Amino acid sequence: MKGYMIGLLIGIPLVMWTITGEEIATLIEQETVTVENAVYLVESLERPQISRGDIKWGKYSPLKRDARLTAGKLAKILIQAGYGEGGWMYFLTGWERYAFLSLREAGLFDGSYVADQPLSGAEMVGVCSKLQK
Amino acid sequence: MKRWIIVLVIPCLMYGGEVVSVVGDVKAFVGQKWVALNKGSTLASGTKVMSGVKSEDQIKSPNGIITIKPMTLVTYEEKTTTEGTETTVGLKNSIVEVKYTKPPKGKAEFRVQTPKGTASVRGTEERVSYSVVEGMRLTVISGHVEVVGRQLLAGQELGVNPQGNVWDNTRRLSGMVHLGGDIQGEETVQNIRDIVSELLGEGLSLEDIANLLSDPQKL
Repeated sequence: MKGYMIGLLIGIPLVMWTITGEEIATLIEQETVTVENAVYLVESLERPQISRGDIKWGKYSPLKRDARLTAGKLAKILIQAGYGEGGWMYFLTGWERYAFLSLREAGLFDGSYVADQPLSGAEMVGVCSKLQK
Repeated sequence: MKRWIIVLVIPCLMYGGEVVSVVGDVKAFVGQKWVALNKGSTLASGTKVMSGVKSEDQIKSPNGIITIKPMTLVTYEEKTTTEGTETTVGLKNSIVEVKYTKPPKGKAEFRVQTPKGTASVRGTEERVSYSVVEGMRLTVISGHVEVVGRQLLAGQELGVNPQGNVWDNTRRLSGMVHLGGDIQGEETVQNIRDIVSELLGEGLSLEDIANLLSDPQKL
């Protein structure tokens, strides 16, 4: 019985974490977002039923999950998730700056953005929704 | 006094749209919480609607059909008065497509509002996108649209970038209108109307054509 209860307590949040329109609406309203928010959203673009527990976080190392999201970090996450080519400088260095420059070149970021610019929830969702068009 | 207030308010009753199709996860903010929308749900004026990843829905309003694309946040507003119906879609993120249907009677106003500009839909089908990173972009699918003081025709696009600069691809139309120079002085208004209608592929009213030709800034 105890085992079932523990299983239920762990299981419920995992099911609830599947991304919803409501969560995206909440993200849009947020002034600041984290790397974890971005990875979850990016991973959900192709697999909306994915839960946080299914995400292979190692793919995004050395980014810290609780770090504030910047344009460069989002670019790196997108490239690691397969949404763009990083170019040979990114291939050599793995730096966020080169990930960002590649995606800015591809038109995903406006020319007014720079790599270390912190992003709001609306900006993060705005970039990701371009990938759904 | 109260009776007079009631009499004045009745013509301005607020109606709502009807959800005609839903794919995936689409929710509306009702009574301080998000509730799932289904086919047949009705939306009160002022309701926020959010579509999730790979999700889409269509809302039928008295003035046409609104298609809400994935990851789109809108506020749906509808106002009916004795003169007609006003529908406004407030777009906060991603894409909506709107198709205008002229109501059998009364005036109809149909607008898509974004923080960077408002598009007035007139006998047309259009796609409007907005995000804080890209600004606003409007593509006319058919008919014509007035947006930020300019007239756009089928296939044309106009955008307002996050810095507030307006861009468009209306050169093709300008070229077409220069053909008007070939018309000789004795040509009648009807001839001009026929030529312009043929060029634009639309039965525009004289007022619309005059509006298009009178101000080059609108082209």
